[in-house]
Amino acid sequence: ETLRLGDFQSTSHIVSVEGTAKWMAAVEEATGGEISFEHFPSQQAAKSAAQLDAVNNGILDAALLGAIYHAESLPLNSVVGLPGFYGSAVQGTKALQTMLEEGPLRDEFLAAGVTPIFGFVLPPYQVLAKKRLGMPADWDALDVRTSGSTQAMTARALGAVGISIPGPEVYTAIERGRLDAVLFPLASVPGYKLNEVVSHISTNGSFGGYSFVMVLGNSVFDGLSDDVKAEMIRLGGETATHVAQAQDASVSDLIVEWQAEGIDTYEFTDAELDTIRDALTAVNTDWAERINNDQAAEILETYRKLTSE
Amino acid sequence: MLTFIAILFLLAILMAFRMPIAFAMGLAGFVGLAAQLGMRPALSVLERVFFDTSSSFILVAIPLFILMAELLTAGDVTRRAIIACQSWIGHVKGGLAMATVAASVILAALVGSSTASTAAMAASAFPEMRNHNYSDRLAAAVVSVGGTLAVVVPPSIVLVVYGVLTETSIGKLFIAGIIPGLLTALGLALVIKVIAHTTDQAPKGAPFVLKTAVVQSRHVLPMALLIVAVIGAIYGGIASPSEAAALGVMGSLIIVLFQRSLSFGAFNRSVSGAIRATVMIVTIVACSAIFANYLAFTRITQNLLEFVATTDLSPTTIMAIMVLVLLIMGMFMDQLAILSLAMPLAFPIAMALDYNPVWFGIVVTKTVEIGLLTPPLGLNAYVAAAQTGVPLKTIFRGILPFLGMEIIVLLLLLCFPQITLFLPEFMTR
Amino acid sequence: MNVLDKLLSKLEDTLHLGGCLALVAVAVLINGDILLRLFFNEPVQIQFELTELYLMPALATLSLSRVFRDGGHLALDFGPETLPGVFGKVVALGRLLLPAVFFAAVTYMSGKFALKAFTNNEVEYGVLDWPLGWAYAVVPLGCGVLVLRLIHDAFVVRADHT
Ligand code: NA
Ligand code: NA
Repeated sequence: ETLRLGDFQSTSHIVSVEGTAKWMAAVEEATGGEISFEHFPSQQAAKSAAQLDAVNNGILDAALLGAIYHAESLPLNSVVGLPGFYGSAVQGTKALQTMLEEGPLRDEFLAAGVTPIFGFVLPPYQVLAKKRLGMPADWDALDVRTSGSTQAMTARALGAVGISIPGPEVYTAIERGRLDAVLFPLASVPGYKLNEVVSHISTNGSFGGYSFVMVLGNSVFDGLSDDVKAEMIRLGGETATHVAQAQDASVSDLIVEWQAEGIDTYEFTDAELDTIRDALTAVNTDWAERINNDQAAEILETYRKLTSE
Repeated sequence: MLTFIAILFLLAILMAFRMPIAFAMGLAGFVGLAAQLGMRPALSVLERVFFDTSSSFILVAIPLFILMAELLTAGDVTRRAIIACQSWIGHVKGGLAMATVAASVILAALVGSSTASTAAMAASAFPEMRNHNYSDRLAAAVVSVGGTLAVVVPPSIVLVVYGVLTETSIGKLFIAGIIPGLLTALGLALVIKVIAHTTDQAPKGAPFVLKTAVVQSRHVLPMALLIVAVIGAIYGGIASPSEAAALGVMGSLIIVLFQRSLSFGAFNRSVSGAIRATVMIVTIVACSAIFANYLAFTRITQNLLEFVATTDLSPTTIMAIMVLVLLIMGMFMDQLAILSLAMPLAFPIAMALDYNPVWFGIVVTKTVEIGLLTPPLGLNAYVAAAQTGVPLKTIFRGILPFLGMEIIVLLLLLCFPQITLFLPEFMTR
Repeated sequence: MNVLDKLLSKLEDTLHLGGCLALVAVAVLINGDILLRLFFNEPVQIQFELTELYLMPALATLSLSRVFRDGGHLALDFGPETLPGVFGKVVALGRLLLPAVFFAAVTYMSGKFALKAFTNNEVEYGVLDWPLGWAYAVVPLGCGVLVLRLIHDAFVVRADHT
């Protein structure tokens, strides 16, 4: 059986190379060709926000979803976008995988018509700027590029202004000073070449997360043999761990590279981290209020516990 | 494969029978999807394709720059500026068309989208060329072709998307685009000169009188100020390129109000004209997205490029085939759709053959830009036709000699990578 | 027939006015954002989301039919304009009715999509909680009127000629 798999990332992204492509190849091999994939990267089959619909409509059999694009159908899953939780891709991925095994996050996917196979996260968002940003006073009234409401709230909680600018224009906007800073996952920095235009990059902040979840349409998944299902999930777990480790390693390499380029890659002091974390609790409260779901508090608690391990 | 040929045939038939291009592409794409995936999935593509296509901040530059040009034209600002240019170079045959190319280069430093630039020039420069007895064929062709400069000269949406898809330095790509952009402009001027001297499409203007020229020059001032202000806003970090388009609208409104040359009726007509062109463009983009979606599901491009990668042809032959594939895709698809469909495959092949990523980016950009000038889907020609009322047939005919020059420039870029790479290497040394 | 014609034109003009106002709103909002940010360090926070979610789709789709009426949707003009005989009539009719079917499908699907957003109270979380139904609704509105225009032109205008 050939499954059409949609993906909004390009095949050159680390998430694709070490995650999606690796998992597809592993499944094809483990099932002896019983399952094969037709991969549609770079939003070829459907736009980022339309991937879930595409699976439900039968355009696709499977898709790598960016949970943030589906906050409407998967509100609880947007918890991963909150700042101040996981500190590395490995830690965040472990927490996500646990929550996808059973509980409200998994149920939400099933109710949306898809079965989660595995999930992983990007390393936590850091702040990139032309000066070192630490205490909230440094952030006062700065124009910070954010994407989505949680990040905009994060910027506001620190006294800055959250600015929406399309991805392709971020480079020019920073270079020209339209933006003072940007919250960005470090693994994606090379893609947008932001290291060419900033001079300071934080390395131990946690300004939000980002989760990817590989899903199969419920009816597609249910139609598979138990062996295949088990293999997909087992290999998915391996892939999740692998892509998380690969990203963390890649970030470490990038940091060394950037240092060699003369960029100040810095760690927040404990005092800064504490102050920032306190300022950002408002974001969690705001999130819980907005999604207005009676399981929000429970999920926050579970997520907090899992990412403190 | 048979279905694919049938769909292409259907598209050709619909277009030949003068169905609007957008409608024909949407229909053919839809039928293709239904044949490929089934009726229900095909229908579901229609749920949100128009919304997803139009709900994009990057697109605001299109209506805004068209509105800017419409306002300046309605307020007589462009005409006066062009008369001023005319007084300097009008005695040269084809001088006004060359001035249009020069203006397109300046506009290109402002705009990152080829269609927006074409629409702006079609609204402003075309009427002047017509007034000075240039043939519609030449005048409309010049604005169509001049528009393509916008994505080669930075800033450029196409180069940014290439940079993001392939992880190539956007800064270097921007610098690398400058010389190829100027080279293209030079080539276009050359074609104009030849046409002006061999046909009567570009008549000579009044003889040169220094005093008149100097006196007339004051009319260039408002335009020059506007351009400086908008470019200044981008480079001074006040606005992103898309936002700068809105500043351009405000600036032109201030100019025409200051000169008391705009009536309320003319303002309404300008807004209405900008909407008209935008609706036409977005409808084509949305409908060609349906077609591109079908194309993606056929996996034709993938198979072709994968096949190329596995053959043991020489690097030059492989590069030639890839450029050819991109040119053919350009006949049917939007530039950004081509990039996202082809780059994941073409880029690794090019890298495996040891080509330079920055150079490849400029070549690819230049190649997909040529697609904007060729039927059936030649967006720049469409925009020019919509804005000027000149029949498409005439425009495509007028574009032909320029297309020859575009191909020559592309060949030069292919054969002499140094043209592209000199500046970025020099500047980062 | 004439009443129908007038009514349709009126409808198109109204939607077109909506599209025009959306464009003016975009220009005003972005400039307001830039100026307030520049002089008072106080941006118009809703500008980006309002433009992307509502104004762009509105200005791109509301005038679909009016633009068609004005001949603004381009067609290739290489072949002859009209063909003789029954075949010519079939072509002329198909040129209007096939797109009518296509856009009827777009109207139905996007309408259902918008309706679903309304009934589920779907929102996009941003600076505000943006109701998505209103964002989606402009597409079926613009396409729906275009369907009426295409059918009208196919039957009414043809009936007038014969
Ligand atoms: Na440009
Ligand atoms: Na073309």
